[in-house]
Amino acid sequence: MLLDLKAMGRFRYALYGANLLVGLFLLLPIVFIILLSFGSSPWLAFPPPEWTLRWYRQLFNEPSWFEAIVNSFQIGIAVTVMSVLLGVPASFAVVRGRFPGRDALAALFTTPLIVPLIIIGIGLYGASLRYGLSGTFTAFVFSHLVLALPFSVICTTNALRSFDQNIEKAAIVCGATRSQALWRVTLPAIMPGIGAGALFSFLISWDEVVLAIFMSSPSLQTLPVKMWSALRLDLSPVIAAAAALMVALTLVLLLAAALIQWFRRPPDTSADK
Amino acid sequence: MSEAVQRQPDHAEAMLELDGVSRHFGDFVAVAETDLQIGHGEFLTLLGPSGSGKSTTLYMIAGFDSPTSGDIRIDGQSVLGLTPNRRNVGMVFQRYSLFPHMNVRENVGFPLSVRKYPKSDINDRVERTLKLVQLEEFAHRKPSELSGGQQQRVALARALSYEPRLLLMDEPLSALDRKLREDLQQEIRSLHDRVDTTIVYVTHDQEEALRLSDRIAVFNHGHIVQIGSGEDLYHRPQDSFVASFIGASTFIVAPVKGLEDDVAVLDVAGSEHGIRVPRPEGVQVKDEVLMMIRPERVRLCACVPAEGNNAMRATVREAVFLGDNVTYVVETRSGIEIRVKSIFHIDSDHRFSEGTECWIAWDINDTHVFRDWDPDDIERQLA
Repeated sequence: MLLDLKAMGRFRYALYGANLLVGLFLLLPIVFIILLSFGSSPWLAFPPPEWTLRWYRQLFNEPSWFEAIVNSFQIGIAVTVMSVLLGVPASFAVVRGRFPGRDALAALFTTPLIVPLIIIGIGLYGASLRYGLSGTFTAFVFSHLVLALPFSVICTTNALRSFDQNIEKAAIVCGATRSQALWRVTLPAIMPGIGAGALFSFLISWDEVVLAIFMSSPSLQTLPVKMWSALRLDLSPVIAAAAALMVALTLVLLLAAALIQWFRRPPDTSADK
Repeated sequence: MSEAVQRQPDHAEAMLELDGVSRHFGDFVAVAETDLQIGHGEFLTLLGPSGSGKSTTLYMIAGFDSPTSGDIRIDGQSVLGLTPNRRNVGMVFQRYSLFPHMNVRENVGFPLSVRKYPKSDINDRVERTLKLVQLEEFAHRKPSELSGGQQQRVALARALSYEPRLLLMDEPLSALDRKLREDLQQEIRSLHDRVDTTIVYVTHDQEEALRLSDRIAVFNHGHIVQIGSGEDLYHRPQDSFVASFIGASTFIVAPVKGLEDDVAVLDVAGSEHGIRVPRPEGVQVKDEVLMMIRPERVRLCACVPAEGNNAMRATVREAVFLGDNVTYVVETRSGIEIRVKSIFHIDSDHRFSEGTECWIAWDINDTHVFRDWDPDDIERQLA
């Protein structure tokens, strides 16, 4: 290989160093916030003078914080369900459909990734005011759905594109009806893709803050919005605890996904007997 | 020719019947009007280059495509109104097409489960079918944990588990390497003997077709150009396409310079008295004809061959040792290249080396003559 690590001599230590720096740069803020969430200093002094779980207790005991957590969960789950329910049929249309404007439609599905968030936020805000949805659960779900759907569609279309359609034909020739082939063969076979789309959808809703600020009302806030408003009032370590909680849930979900992948992986099979 | 007709089963007992079936895609004729009868328990191969219409024909039999005209009957009943899942046929695809999320047992049991067979019955049949393809020990594996050959055996088992009246196979072995392909050909052949299903098999590999089939239908440009046993096609090709597609032969275009009772004499440059060939019907002196010789029918000799043979002087240009034979390219004095295959020159002391002067000779009756031909067919041989 041209750029073999071993062939690089002392230069490779520079590479190790660069890697270390990038890793630290990405990880340090998270490590800091997690350490601070366990620190006893109410002014977020570092290093923490003592360790405590006080801020976590406050996070779960204070109704406004706890409600924000529950809201975030409920909205996230609703977004996930709708993102899959809408994203899977849309993907089938884009991959299997034969109609004019199909490619344009596929491109349209990914525009929320490109359009600046603030613009989507203003648009959604205007629309929700117009239809009296501002500050409602529905408005939250719809706005997060705008961001989540592209991921659901992209993951599902990729899975569907790499799914050999002859497998579906094989099912039909075996005696399955079209719907049996769909439910018993195609959908289970592309489930990893659908699952990835669902996971992304939840995570996007879970840590989304810009649209959520537009949609929130004093009575309905998500965890990131609550953190944002708390931050503006005073700098309490409860925010650090909430941040640690968000990171923890994200990590758990990603780890679970990785574990599922790991268990589904094809084991090493040596060549033909 | 006559033998090919005899081998065709009677209408009454034809298991599968294509009656004037054609398929057009706009202006393009993928399959021209085709008649075909396949008897119970027969192994018929549709052989042809890609784009010749063989796969389209197979997909119409399966029901994934509808003919533009004509009728397809299975056991005397038209199946055109039936969707593929109600035709009760089995199919094996080129790329295994196993259900990736199911293990081997579930894959093989799938057709039975959608047919709502009772559980115990499904288990019995799956067990029996897996035994048939020798995959009992792999019942719990996922397709991704199997080799290509094993996957294709699972696909075969899945297609056989419900004992369909007809088994369709679309180039099932083309993704496998040569050794494995030959093993599986053997296995398919012996399966066919044991389970007694009717099989329609699509391939572009002439050797595979010869090895497996009772009869072969050769496709070209959407037409069946000849149907018959492998021997018919090899020894009695009806046109230059069949002659060029099956076997690797030498083609020479030459004018007729004389006619005798049942022999025509061709004026081939470099032959003193001309090349004597079986006389084609209706041929006239001065007509150009296409002559074909199979490489294994040509002999190389160091000295003048006996009278009564076709003979020409030549120089060995290439001698390639292929293990079970030696394949030569020799060039006649007039510059015609002729392929010769010999099993007698395997030992190097019997071999003609490159550059050696020699004689080539072959029997009159080993020459095939065609009055019409498509220049592409000759091209293919040279390529």
